[in-house]
Amino acid sequence: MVRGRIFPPLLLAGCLVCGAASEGADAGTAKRRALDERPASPSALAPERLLLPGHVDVEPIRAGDLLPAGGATISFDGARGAVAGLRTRVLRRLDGLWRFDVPAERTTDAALQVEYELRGADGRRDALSLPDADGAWIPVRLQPVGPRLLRSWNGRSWLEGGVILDLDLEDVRHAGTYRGTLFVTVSRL
Amino acid sequence: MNRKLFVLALFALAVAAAPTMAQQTAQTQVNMNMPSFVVLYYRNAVTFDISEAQLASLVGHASGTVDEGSTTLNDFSGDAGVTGSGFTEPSSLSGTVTNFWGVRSIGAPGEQTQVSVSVTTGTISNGTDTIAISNALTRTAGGGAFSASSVTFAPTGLGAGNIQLGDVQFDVDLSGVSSSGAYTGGVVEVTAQNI
Repeated sequence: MVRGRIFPPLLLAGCLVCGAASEGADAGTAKRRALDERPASPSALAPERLLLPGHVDVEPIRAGDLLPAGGATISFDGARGAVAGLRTRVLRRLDGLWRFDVPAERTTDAALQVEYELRGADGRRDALSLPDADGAWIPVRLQPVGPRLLRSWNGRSWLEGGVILDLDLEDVRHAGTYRGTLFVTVSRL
Repeated sequence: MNRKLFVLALFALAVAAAPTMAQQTAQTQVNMNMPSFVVLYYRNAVTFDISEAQLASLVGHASGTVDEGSTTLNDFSGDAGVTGSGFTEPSSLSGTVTNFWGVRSIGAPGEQTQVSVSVTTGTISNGTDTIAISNALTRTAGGGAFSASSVTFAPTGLGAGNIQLGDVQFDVDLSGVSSSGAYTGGVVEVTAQNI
């Protein structure tokens, strides 16, 4: 699991729900309750929503991703393992992968933590796997992008974020459509 | 339920509910296509620089002189009987080049990578005489006898240590050669594909 950076600076501490449910409120809880009790537009009272597309088709790996920049030929000195030049690490950037729809005022007083977890179709962690071939998988490291404030309008704000898939193709032998499930968890700290 | 138990139950409910209200999780299916992919490594030119001693060896002799022993003649005129024996017919030589090609590949499940070789231009000439090459055969590097013009193996992957190297062998006919010099023009073609 990979965590994104915290945004914005942490101002509200503690467990929000515990605070709201108990009478013995701490400072953080008091602030949250005060926000809740202010007059607000109906849209601002709407729940927070994390939005992701149902599926993402990552840009396919192409020959140009693997061959050295600027050419389709590479040198060969005839010795085993001495052939250099193929790139086996490929990045795929998924910008704007998710959006977090929140009341506008909550973007200024809350800290967000975004966590990513990728599981291959076979359940393997940090991987994409090929259902057609047992044991075929691509190790993937996740690099969070964002989150950032996309826009605010009519009392609502939209945060967005994404992830970079760092694909290790060193030992990939099988062609086909590799699949996985990417979980995104947005936490308010 | 007594009062204490009821309070505890409320507290437990609040704690249990906390994560679901303080965080949200969503998921998406990620698909990525990895195409079949073959990289063929080859030499764009191979020059055989054959020395006199090597040529002698090719035709079955240890050097450029062959001692056929002594003979006795009963007259100053007679037949010394040199035979030129132990000679390898120059029309039936062969050449073997190891690590002639290299391949890295990715194939669909069930696919194999195939490398085939063929002589597409079999005449090597110096403008006067010709050397003929034919019947190209291949094998994976160091792998047994040459028996076919193609070889198949499992896709190798792309990593530095995952290259499959291969050797090639072809027939050489020097029977049309009577002049020394630079002979050029022969072509051996190598093809790699997933099948």
